[in-house]
Amino acid sequence: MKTVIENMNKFLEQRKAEVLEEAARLIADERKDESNFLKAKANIYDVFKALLGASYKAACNDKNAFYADFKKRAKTVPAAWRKSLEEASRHGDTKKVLTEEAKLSAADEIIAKFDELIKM
Amino acid sequence: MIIMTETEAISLFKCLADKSRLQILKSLIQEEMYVERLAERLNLSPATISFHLKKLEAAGAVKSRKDQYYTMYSINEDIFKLPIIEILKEKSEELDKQAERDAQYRKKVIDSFFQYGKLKSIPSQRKKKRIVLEEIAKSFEAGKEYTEREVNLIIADYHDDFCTIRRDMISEGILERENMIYKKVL
Repeated sequence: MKTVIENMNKFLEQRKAEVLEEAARLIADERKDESNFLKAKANIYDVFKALLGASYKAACNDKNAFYADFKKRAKTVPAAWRKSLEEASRHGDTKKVLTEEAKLSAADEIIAKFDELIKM
Repeated sequence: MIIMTETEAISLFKCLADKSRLQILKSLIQEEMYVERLAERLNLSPATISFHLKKLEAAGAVKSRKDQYYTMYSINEDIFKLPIIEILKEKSEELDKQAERDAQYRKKVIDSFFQYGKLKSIPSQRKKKRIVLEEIAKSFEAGKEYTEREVNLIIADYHDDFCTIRRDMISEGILERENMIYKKVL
């Protein structure tokens, strides 16, 4: 369980740095709006880092309880973003659509990485 | 000709200060296009293109029309034919506020340098001195000719150092002197 957490934290930090680097590149390329969507995405790695910590605390060293708790949180939290995305799409709010899509793309890749790590 | 307000001009310039949006406009100047075509051409997602097009449309830079299943976007040429100098010539929406701020500043300077109709001291700061001199100049009638003695008497009502003030009024272009005759310029 500790290895999974360590690897997850490493992954989250690395991905956040990569996304922020891409955001900086976009700013340098005079694409500030697109860069802002990536900054919103970068924040999600921190959100999931906090979720990981919360699940670890709640599980009291029980590996299966930790996995289940994190999976549950990883599904619940982005649910609000999916709802917001649907709402924004319905109203043609393109800014919100791109923000929520960026956040959800980070969430999807984090969940995929977690699934991959717990299978190992 | 199109008239652009200050707010509209700011919105347009802000909108144009983005490389992706400039690339979209460069594509649209060639021909009208729909979102997916622009996305393919510029290697951006359709959602990103839609976002930029919405901003461009709101700023008046592009127009759209429905064509069967597609929304076709084209450049709003009228906006881009407007010379920037014409935008600068438009009356500023800030003008009234600026005038109000100037009037407040003027009052503050007059209140602090004059007491009971007398000038307490000659300001050293040029901007303040100019305001003080203009205030004294109100005692001169426009178009009327004054001898130096008359000028001195009027200024002496405000301050004992009438020579300095008289010379300052000349150098600031508030009074003009010709053959020892003085006239108010303002």
